[in-house]
Amino acid sequence: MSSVLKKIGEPSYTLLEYVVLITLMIYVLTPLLWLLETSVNTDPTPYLSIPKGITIDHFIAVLTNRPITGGYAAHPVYMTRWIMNSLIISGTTVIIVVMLAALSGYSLSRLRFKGKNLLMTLILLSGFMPRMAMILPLFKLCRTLGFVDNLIGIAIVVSSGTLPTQIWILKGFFDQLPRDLEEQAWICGCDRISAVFRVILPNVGPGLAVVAFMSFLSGWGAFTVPLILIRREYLFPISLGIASVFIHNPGEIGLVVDYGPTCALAVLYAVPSIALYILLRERLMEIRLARLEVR
Amino acid sequence: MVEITLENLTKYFDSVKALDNLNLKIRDKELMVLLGPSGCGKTTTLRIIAGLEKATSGHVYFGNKLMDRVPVRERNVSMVFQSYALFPHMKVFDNIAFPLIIAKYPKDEVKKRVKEIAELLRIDNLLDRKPHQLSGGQQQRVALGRALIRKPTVLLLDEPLANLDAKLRVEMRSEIKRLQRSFESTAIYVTHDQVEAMSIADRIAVLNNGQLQQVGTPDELYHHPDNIFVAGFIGTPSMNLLDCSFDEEKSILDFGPFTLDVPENIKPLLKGSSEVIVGIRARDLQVSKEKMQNSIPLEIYTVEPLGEETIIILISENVRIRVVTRLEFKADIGENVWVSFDLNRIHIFDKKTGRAIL
Repeated sequence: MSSVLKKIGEPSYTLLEYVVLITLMIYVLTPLLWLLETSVNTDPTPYLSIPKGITIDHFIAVLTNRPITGGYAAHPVYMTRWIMNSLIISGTTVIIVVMLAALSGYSLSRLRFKGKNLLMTLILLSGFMPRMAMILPLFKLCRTLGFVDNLIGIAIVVSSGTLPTQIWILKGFFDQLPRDLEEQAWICGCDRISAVFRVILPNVGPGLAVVAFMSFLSGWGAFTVPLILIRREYLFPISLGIASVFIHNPGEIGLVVDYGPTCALAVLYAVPSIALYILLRERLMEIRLARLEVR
Repeated sequence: MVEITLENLTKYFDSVKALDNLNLKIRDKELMVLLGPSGCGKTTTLRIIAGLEKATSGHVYFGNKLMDRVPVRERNVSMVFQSYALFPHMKVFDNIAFPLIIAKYPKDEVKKRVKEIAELLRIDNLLDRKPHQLSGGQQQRVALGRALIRKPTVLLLDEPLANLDAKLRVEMRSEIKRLQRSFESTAIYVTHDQVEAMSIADRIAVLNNGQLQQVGTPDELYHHPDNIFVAGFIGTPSMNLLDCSFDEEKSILDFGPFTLDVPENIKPLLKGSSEVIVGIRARDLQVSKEKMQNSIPLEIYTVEPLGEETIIILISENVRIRVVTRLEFKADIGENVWVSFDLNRIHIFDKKTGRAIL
């Protein structure tokens, strides 16, 4: 009795923590669970329901390019193509961004040159600019450069959007690295470039991991840029592909959609981001340690 | 294995003058210590010699070769940083081998030489560890190993012992001296610790405010300081430096609360100067409870027993004097004692220029 009174008198913080945590989890995870539920439901509907049976048919449908049947649906599907396209775009984005951000971040951190502060401000500002604000000139420019219906072109445009932020992130990592290390490398006989590759880059591993992760996400999640630049359906990334399933069906939007495969595709769309996070988690966690470990 | 000449070295950081027209010759195979308080320009000098910093004006020569435009990697200098700057992502073996790997030595040769140097430094059991798994002393040895493996012509050491505890520091400084001898490198060692400097150096260059104060062997600096700065900086406890005026007529040095007769042999040197500073080492003073010849009465301010000996600080009005006595001398704070000056061992400096007169 007294313990109950005590609990009322002194509310347990543990309980409060759980309440807050569970609320947050419901908030974040509901759409995901909904998606997962529909993707394995034998009788998928657009509503959250208890599945009558569980099947992986929809995933097989996606991975074997079985046409989406939903009523009158008769538009071509290139599900595996879309997955490939997304991988090409994000892979290329990672390569471009990591390379350029590492070189620029290093230069901004270590070299002294005229107009450096102005340049850094401009880079920061361009990172803040919403992509849609520049969409018209961007489109014209891309058409001139042949980036329309060109996956590498998409990657280049997406990279240019995420690059400023990534340069700043990596510059921070370079700034933290003691100059002694680099100078010691020079004394040991390295020139500037080999010192960067042999000593500097291996020691900003966590930073490179963060940048790789974030640029992958920006390529993987890209929607507006491909929306404007890609016309042919077999060149769609997954993001456009999922949208197209809804938009292209005749009749009322959404009503004739084959929900199972669509949701299965959406689940597959989410997998690489999560997998990459798990893969890089250790490195991402190191970031804090890297700050502490001075020597 | 080379003589180093610094010629009119001046270095500005923006508008701050870090080095002021430094001229210094470091002899072949010598261990030269650059000594001075922080901010005196000693590390800047080292970095200019390494090529990590460009002098605003002046030149560096290795032998007869002008080094001003030679890039760091081609100078064949080795440097041990205060932070050791071990490469965190490499094992101890790779850290030590790094200079050889860059110079593209054959693998067998690298292995053999790393093993040799690791045995010499007694770190051959640590070769598979990463730097963060080592103690401070072990990290220091690895840094030394990496610096020595190339048999550098010039070995630069920037406060290499500053991050070690007191006991290890004493141990390592004799080891560094021994290694430098056996490798026959010309070595330049930067420190702010004068005891360290005295114990390790062939010669010491004392710097202050970017200016060279004096170059000489530890003995020369201790017994014949050129100016007040060197006199006050070298020696523990530091030299007593007492303001006084010279009265030519009475032939006395007037300290305020007391005076001293000037011996005949010193008189001609003092001619013409009135304001001087008298320097005398704490060990060249004798303290006694009875009056002695040439002694003055002072009151005991503090007593610091150090085991072997005791440091007593004496006071009379605004004059403070530090004296080292043997432990047998027992006295209490506030007691009055007599102190006698060994006038053959005093130093006299011109108060205006700071230069030694005697």
